[in-house]
Amino acid sequence: MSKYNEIMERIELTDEMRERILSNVKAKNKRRRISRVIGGIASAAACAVIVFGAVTVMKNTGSVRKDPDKATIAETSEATPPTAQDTLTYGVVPYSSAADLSEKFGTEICDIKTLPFEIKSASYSIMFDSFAEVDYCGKNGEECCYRIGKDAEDISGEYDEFTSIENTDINGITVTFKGYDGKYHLASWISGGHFYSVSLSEDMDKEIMLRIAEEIID
Amino acid sequence: MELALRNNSFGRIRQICLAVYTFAVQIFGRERAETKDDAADRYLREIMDKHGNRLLRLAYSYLHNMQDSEEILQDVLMKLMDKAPVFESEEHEKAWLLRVTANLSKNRIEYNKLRDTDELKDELVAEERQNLSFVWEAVKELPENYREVIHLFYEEGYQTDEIADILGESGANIRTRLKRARAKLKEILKEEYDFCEQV
Repeated sequence: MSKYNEIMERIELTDEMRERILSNVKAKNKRRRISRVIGGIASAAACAVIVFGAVTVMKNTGSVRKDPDKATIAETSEATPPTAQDTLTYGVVPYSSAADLSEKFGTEICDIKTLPFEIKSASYSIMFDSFAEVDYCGKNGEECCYRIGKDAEDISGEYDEFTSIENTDINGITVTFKGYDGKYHLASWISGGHFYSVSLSEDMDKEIMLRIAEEIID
Repeated sequence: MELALRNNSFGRIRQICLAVYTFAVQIFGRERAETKDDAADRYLREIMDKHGNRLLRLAYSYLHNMQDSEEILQDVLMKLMDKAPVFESEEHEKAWLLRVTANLSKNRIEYNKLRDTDELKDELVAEERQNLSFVWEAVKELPENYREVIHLFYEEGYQTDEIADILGESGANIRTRLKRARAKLKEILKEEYDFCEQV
């Protein structure tokens, strides 16, 4: 046995370390599961609000078509379509477009055009009155979550310990890319007092994340 | 009247069935989740039994610190749970784990401030094992890309082509680095040099 092997034999995984590692891994997995559940509940709530809104509008349109002359004052008031604020449930207010979201949120928000997948659907909302969120779904299940905070607080929702972190300057703004193994799925920065984050469902090459950040910043 | 009564009974039966179904889903759903957690726990323990020491040693060869190395091992297990790769063989599993450990360790060197304590060095000094301490210091002085080749060759017993596969580089490149690392160690260690010269 060489001296190097003799040296290395001294490094051993003790029972104490093993238990510590296992409990940390379990705790981290649990935290991830909880945040996934919260994300699922938020999405379900958003869907429920949309469905409720759609049903209400359809119902009202239907009742007007059925017998417009017989509508009483009470029915008319019931039939008034709820505004976005009226349908605010679980802190999620949905909007129909980026322009509508921009107007209500008070910050310019444009659709991202440089996503690395073909967009199947997009949804726009203001969450808990603290940040605007645009969710894109791709044809093959890809996802992108674009958030803009009311202030500079980190609202990315991703607080894991990343193994790859890199800062890049774009037009004088420091953009931080985070991910694993030299690939990235999260880009975040602060601009004009707002926190911005773009999070993809898969880790990507830095160039892809850079292109998205550049498009938004420009 | 009779029809209304029948409808009412049917509604009740349906409600009872639904309640039983919901209860069963809750019970079995919970049991399944617990079994899944238990299986994950067993799998991680098994991985640590088989590879824990080698992964910790590889991480230590990069980071020279036990706490950082322990965190790397933890991250490797997290990665294993996230990716859930399908391994074709034990060898494939071992190589995958070593590759992830190497990558995570290198990332940590690049992006994080490492802790200063080198427990291994302290231990060797405390035990007055000057010869081992001398060898360890010499290996530590090597550049990171020389150290990884030395470790995988001498500690893990991999051939240069296998190291190339793990590190994603060419075999020729690995052989050159191994040769240079040995020359450097020979120069520092002189008579203490005991690294076998076979390729």
